[in-house]
Amino acid sequence: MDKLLKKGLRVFNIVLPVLAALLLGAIAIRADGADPIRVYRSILQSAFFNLKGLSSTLVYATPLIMTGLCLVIAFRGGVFNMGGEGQLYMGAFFATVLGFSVTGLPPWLHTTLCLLCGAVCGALWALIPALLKAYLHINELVTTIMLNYVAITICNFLTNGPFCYSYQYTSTQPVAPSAELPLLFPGYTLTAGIFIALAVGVFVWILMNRTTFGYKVDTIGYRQEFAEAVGMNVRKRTMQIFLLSGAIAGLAGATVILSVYHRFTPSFSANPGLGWDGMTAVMLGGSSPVGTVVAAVMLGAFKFGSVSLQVKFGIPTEVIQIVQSSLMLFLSIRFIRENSETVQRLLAKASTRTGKKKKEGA
Amino acid sequence: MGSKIEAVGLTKYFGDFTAVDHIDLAVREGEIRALIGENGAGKTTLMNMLYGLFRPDEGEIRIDGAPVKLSSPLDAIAHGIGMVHQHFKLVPSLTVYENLMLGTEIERELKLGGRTVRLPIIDTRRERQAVQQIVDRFDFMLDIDRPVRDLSVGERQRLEILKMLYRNVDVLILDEPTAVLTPQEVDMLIENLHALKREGKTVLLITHKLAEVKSCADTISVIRAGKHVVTVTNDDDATTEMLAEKMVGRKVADIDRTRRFANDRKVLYRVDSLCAKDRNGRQVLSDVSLHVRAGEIVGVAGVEGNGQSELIMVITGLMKHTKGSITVDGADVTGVWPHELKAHKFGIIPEDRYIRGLCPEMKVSQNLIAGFEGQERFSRHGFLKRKAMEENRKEKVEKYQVRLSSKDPYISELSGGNAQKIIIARELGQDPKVMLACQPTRGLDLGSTEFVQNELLRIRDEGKAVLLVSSDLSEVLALSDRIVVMYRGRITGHFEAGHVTAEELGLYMVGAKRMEGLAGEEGNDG
Ligand SMILES: Nc1ncnc2c1ncn2[C@@H]1O[C@H](COP(=O)(O)OP(=O)(O)OP(=O)(O)O)[C@@H](O)[C@H]1O
Ligand SMILES: [Mg+2]
Repeated sequence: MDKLLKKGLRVFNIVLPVLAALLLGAIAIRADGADPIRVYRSILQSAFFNLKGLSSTLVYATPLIMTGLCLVIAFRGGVFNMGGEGQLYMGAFFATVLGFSVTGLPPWLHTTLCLLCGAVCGALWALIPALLKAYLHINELVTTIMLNYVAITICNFLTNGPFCYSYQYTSTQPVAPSAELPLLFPGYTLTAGIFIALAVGVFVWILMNRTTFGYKVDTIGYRQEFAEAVGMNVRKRTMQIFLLSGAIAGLAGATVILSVYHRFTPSFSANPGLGWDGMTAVMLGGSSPVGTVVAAVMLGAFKFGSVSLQVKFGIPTEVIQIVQSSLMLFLSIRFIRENSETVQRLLAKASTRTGKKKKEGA
Repeated sequence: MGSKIEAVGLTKYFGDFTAVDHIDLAVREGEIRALIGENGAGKTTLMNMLYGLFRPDEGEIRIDGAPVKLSSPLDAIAHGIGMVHQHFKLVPSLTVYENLMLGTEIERELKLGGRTVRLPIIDTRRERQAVQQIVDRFDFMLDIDRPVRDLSVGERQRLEILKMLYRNVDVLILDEPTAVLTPQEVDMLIENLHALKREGKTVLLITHKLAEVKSCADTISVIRAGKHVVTVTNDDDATTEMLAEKMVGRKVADIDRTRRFANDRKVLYRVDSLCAKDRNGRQVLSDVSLHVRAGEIVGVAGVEGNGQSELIMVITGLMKHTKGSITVDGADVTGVWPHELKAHKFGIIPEDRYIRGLCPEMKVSQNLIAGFEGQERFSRHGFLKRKAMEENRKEKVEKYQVRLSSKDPYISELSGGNAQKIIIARELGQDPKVMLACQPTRGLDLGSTEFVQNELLRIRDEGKAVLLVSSDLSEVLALSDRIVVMYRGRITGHFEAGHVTAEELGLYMVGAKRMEGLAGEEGNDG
């Protein structure tokens, strides 16, 4: 009973911020002169209740699923990798480079190589804060955030300089067709990228719930001193967590390029950035792989919905960004502390009831 | 009537588990009441209800005959009930008086004409005065200007008690206050309790040590499995045997201490001239040498804070040494990480249960494999064998008689004694060659203490080497074949068991006596 109630609370702690964010968004929509209920309904309808929309929703969700999962591993291991954005950029950029500089490979091999390249580059970029944390005890929160700007600037420079392709439009050369991720159904934008994202989801779930690695990650995340004392190599594990997390972010970047843009433009990650959206997904999903995937799909729907809003209602996408960023804000405030007075009281009541029931049964 | 504090039919459920089962208890004003019972009997839960930490599911609490509802510790303190838990809640960097005043700071006042204005500035002079006054009043020896991080455990505890007294509580609840104290500190605490009694305060004391109960309690209540068994006055009829029997529900046998080791067995563990400095460059270990033979228990005695913790940290690979070497069965393990130590079959029962010994946020089954998750028994190709973990849990819980409130609870839901059993089950289950046991029975009840001590003796008789570090002198005397005394980071005495009395050891422990020529190779038979 206690457990059920606690679980309920956890759900409540996620639902309440969502409602609060939607309410704030509603005020903005109202101010813009539209009917919030109609707007929200239309988002849902366009995002889920027709095939084209569903396909677009999943396209938007694909990178978010991965940037979310990259944080699941990191957060559960107590590693605050805020560098998803930078790792994503590195992965995206170098996957693109491999995509256009090599030609003549069979498509399956070329795409696989590009995806791998993205993962490796994301991991390599994560190696910097990983080494700094593991060997010099430098706080990863600071280094990863700073390195995001470095990564974005490097990619910007390379796109404008050595890899400059067109002068009207900052972008690299498009990747060879053999590197593109194939469309799943003709006429729909959905690509095989969604399978990659889901495969990563399954991988992370198994890793976290069924392997000794996941067990160690959780232990380190809960109590580092304990983990050390019972003989877990915390330094090695921290490095692995970082690299894995970076690889998933890099893979996310490569997947977006190969399935949507087909060329690298520094603005591909859009405001507030796919890496940061991953953070919202993790917080909504409560650090569980399944929850994060579901949350990422919801966010994807919202992102797609906001684009269609502009077309349909003439509502600026900024309105939806208000909802998104306030969601992030509300999520980071835990509304009801699980061990607060009120909760204790609720728990006490609940257990009295079960206790009484037990007695009556006896 | 005339009861100061009363529990009437007090009951607490945790899910389907009844932790406290309709307990009636009445304590008179100015009485010292001891509460005894096995681990997991429900003593802490009962007291937590009196202190407003848990809400009772049934029953009520009466103070001076009037029913009260306590919704928080603050509420309880307002009703004159204070409690000191086993884990202290002090700020290490603040001084004694600052800690004591935390939350009730005296503000500086400014006289302007006829009016006084309060300034948001702390009046340190008046604070120090007030604190000194209360320290003197209860005759608690404490330097009020020392930062808490420099205090011994006993001093910290006195501070916690003073914190309650300053808030004017009439009823003081102490949960296992003596578990962490040295014998001298225990005597001092008992004296302090008598002083409180003279002031008319009521004291509720949880402890597992019957000798202490006999020496300070007026009345004794026995709790077993959530129920109140009996309350007796502390007179000659209340013998420790009788109390023990009431507590456990059966007769408690004395442990069999027959030594079966021969002196020519090989040395399994050797520490040679170990030196270490702490973060501030202070020498905390100087030339510590000792060895443990197969089939032998070597006890390290000493007043807490004389380098034992540092010794443990260095030999378990958690702190750097500056000189010296350590070997397990001939293999050099100086400065190796804990995971390598495990490979050398070195078992560790750490002294801080909830920091290095267990992960409270994880389940019993998960804690039971910590550090051994890579073994073939529990995993294959990196995948956990969940069935094996379950079986392991069942087996260990049964073998070590761990009392759980559900099948596989989180460690945070276990009583202190049962939590310790999980550590012991995990470490002994690995069949170590050398066992480092630090405060292995701290907070354990009679039955469990007996069990753990017997386990240590059993593995000794199987030919393992046991290094026992304990501030409980009677435990060191009871179990060890040889005893070394640590004082200020040095080994100052070395004795064969049976050739030394507790009083003699005490003199070495406080530095009044020391043996010469102990540096380098240790003792007579090294
Ligand atoms: N928060 C909790 N959730 C579930 N069960 C609990 C919780 N706290 C205590 N219990 C259970 O209630 C029982 C009584 O616990 P309690 O801590 O009161 O024992 P105790 O008598 O103080 O034992 P010890 O001497 O070991 O400290 C134990 O079996 C314990 O597992
Ligand atoms: Mg207790």
